[in-house]
Amino acid sequence: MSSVASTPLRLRADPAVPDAVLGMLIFVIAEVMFFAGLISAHTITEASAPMGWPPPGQPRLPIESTAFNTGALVLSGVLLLAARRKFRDGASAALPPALLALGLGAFFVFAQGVEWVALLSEGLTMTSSTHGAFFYLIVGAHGLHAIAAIGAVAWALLRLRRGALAPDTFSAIVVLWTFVVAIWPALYAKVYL
Amino acid sequence: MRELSAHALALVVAWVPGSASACPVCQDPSAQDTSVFLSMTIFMSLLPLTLIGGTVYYLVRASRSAPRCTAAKMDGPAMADAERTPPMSAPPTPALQTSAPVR
Repeated sequence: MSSVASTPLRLRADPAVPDAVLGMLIFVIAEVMFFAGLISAHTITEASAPMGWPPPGQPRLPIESTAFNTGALVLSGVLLLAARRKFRDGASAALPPALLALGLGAFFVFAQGVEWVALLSEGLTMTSSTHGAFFYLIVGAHGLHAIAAIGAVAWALLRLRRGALAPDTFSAIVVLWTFVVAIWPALYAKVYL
Repeated sequence: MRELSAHALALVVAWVPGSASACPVCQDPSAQDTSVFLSMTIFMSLLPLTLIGGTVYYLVRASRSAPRCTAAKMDGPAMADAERTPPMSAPPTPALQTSAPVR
């Protein structure tokens, strides 16, 4: 005779913060420390440069055009945040701003690449001076993060189009892109200005 | 006596920190370089504490505002069979003692 007592159910509470978002936050914290180390090394080297900073004879960095690129990157971050908000209303509402964000992010990386080619032709290389070495190291590290994040956003948009993107996954990718966008003005101010 | 002289030597060394310093970077003669190095040391020391502390604060706040799950919410036919614990089986009944079969 089977037991008439009710079958005990194992309760499973939803996490307060989605696992994907928490994992991405931990990764972002590690990357923030990485860039903080680069900024710290740049600051100390800049302060102890014997002939001032930037060293004499080095090509001038394109401050104005990079400022424009920075604006495009910041706008892409705002658009992706807006896309995440609209995602609650449905995938079709989130797609246009997310596509715009992806386009602006890709534009930023492309424009930075064009600037790099110009600077290399003017003689600023990783071995020309510590100024050049720090420039390519810091901006290059950010560029690699931006390219990887663009890949993640593009993957998310493909799934969004198919209606197969989970909200938590979208949130995690938004966290990653927000980090890439938010850290750039600090790097720009440190390296370019 | 030997212990006393060791402690006395330690006190003397503690009173003359300039002689005990061995870091060539901290002892840069340029005052500006030293202040920049010190400020970056403070920055790099406080930043991880701020990041981790901020994350913990965010997690605690999120967990407090998250809805608690209840047994009523989790019960029902929507629950997957895999999440059910095996039903409690009735205690085995003792084998009946039988006498020799009747022929």
